[in-house]
Amino acid sequence: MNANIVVQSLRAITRSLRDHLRCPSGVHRTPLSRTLGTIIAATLLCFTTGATAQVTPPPVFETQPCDPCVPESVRQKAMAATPLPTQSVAEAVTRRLKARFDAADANRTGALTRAQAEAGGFGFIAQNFEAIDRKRAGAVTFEDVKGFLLARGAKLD
Amino acid sequence: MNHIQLRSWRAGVLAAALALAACGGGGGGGDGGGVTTPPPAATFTDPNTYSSAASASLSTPNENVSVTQHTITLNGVALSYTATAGHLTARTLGAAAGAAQASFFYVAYTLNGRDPATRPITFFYNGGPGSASVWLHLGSFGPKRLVTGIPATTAAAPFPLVDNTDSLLDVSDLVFVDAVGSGYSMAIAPNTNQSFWGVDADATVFRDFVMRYTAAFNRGTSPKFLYGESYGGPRAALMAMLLESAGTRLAGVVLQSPAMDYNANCGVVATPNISCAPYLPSYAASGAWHNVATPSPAPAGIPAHMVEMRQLATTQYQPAVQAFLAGSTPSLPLVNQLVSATGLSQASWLARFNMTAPFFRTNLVNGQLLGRYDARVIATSTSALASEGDPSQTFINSSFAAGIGNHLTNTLRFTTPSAYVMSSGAINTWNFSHNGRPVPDTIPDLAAAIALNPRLKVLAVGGYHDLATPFFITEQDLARLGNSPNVQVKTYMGGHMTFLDDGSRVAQRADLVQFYQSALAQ
Repeated sequence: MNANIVVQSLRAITRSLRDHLRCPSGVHRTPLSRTLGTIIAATLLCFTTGATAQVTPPPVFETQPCDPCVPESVRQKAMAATPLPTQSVAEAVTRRLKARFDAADANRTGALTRAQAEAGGFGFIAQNFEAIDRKRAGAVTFEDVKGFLLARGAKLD
Repeated sequence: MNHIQLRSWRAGVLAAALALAACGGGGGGGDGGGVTTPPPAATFTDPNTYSSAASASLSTPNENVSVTQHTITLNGVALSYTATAGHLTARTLGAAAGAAQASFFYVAYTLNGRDPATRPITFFYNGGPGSASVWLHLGSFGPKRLVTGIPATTAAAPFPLVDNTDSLLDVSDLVFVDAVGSGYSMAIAPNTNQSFWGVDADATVFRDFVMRYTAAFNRGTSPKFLYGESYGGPRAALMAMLLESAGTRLAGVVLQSPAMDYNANCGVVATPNISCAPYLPSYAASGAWHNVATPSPAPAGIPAHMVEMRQLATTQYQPAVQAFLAGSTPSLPLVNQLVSATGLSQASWLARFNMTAPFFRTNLVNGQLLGRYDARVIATSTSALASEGDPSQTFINSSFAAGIGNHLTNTLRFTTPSAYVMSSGAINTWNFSHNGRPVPDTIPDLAAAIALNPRLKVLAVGGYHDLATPFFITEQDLARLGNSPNVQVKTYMGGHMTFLDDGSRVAQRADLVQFYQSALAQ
């Protein structure tokens, strides 16, 4: 147990060092000295207790969350990105669903059977297959899915 | 007992038996009719070493659990519940026996004597990305909470962990799950933690956790809710889209101070060309709290005052910021109006007209630093509380660390030699790109979930004094979904974690109860 804690503490120190080396600007981190202090204190505590009813838990890696934050490299990429052409949410939704449909369409046939939809993570299509497959084709296209959703009041473009 | 329940019960007994075997204990079984009988108590010492390193992966995942029995009195009713702590293996979707992806650590609180087929269940997670779900777990609506006394910073650390009379356990079973590389969650070989450190990969593996949990505990027909905080908001939007696509229906999604669109928040991407105008109402609320704004209404007057401040932000400050970013000089009358509205000096507004939160927090009160997560929390700039950049976070950090360690070890009887990781370094190597953009905009993902499930209910909550994800940005983000009775935004006194405020937690619980009722009524 104690040996494990020492190993864990060493790993924590390594990780903490690494985090500090890579800490992006704007991302607040617990000062290294404080992190080490906490880990060392927790480790000492583990060495010196043991006869009490309450078990001393293993050390908890205590770092400040920075949520939401991005590192500098991502900030640079976001700044360099060309602005999106104006796209309505309905348009974006349609694209997202089309992308999921295409991901499930492993054979690139433009249509999914019930089994293909299920296997491709699009169980929604499998569950509503009869209602979507109005032509009784045994396979549904994205237009079929779109028609089904539109009929249920979805905002698509 | 029908077949499905029997299967689930067997799974439960198996898990408990595995756990018992591991710690040398033993226990009997039980039986249930339409409801489950609580499983026998079991402690579990997990021999695995869990690591948050990017390159780390687990080769010996287990699904063993510790099981403990507890009681809590909510609204005068004594309730008994089971706490289950352990891991579940998320597998790839589709193929009959999908490949093992990640071993998720979770703590589930389930009310005894309820039929799992109809009992609602809610999955909670924090964000970061890289944060464990300890903040929601021990701060919000679980059966236990740490008494922080926020926004005061007078409570002695570590804070006591008490029964939470505002828990949602009377309304829903509650599952707190940690992201890969945080808590005790870890990727399974040949994957590494880094494999799941990206917007899409993370949401996908979280979906697979929900599906594994649902299968393991027979919750296929339970009304399901997601509750994500901060980065957990975009994760929830994506998970909702992925779960609905996969055919797993959700009843509701709660977004706690969510960062739905990274491009809309000048403090996240921090590019000089994003307007900080939607921060203005939060600056005004913070100035009012510290009694330096004119007017500085008391808390009861804040909602009405914020109506005016949203108006000022939209009609005057926003166009002025746009003009300023295009090179024009701001007008002095407007600057003076902003000085009154916030209490921040004229010199500050002239120095930084597109006002960023760090500048505001440093300069509102001379020699003092305001909190980022909760701007009501204030500390002398040179104090230990201010030394990490956010006194509202530094004040609670060590108590949550101590709290989770003790809770897992001594109350839930789940032990492991590994350290519980509050926050990994995931953010440094996270793949933020989503849908072809460098940082995520997940409003369309949430809209896609609604397109697939028109009855899905969404509730976004936030705090007036949150300078990380300001409430007005959340309102503007959610407004993109169009006017719908199924989408609501509620704002309370307090910061990012509104539930840490004793008054706001009560108000928020009341709104959540109503939200659950409306989601379950249909």
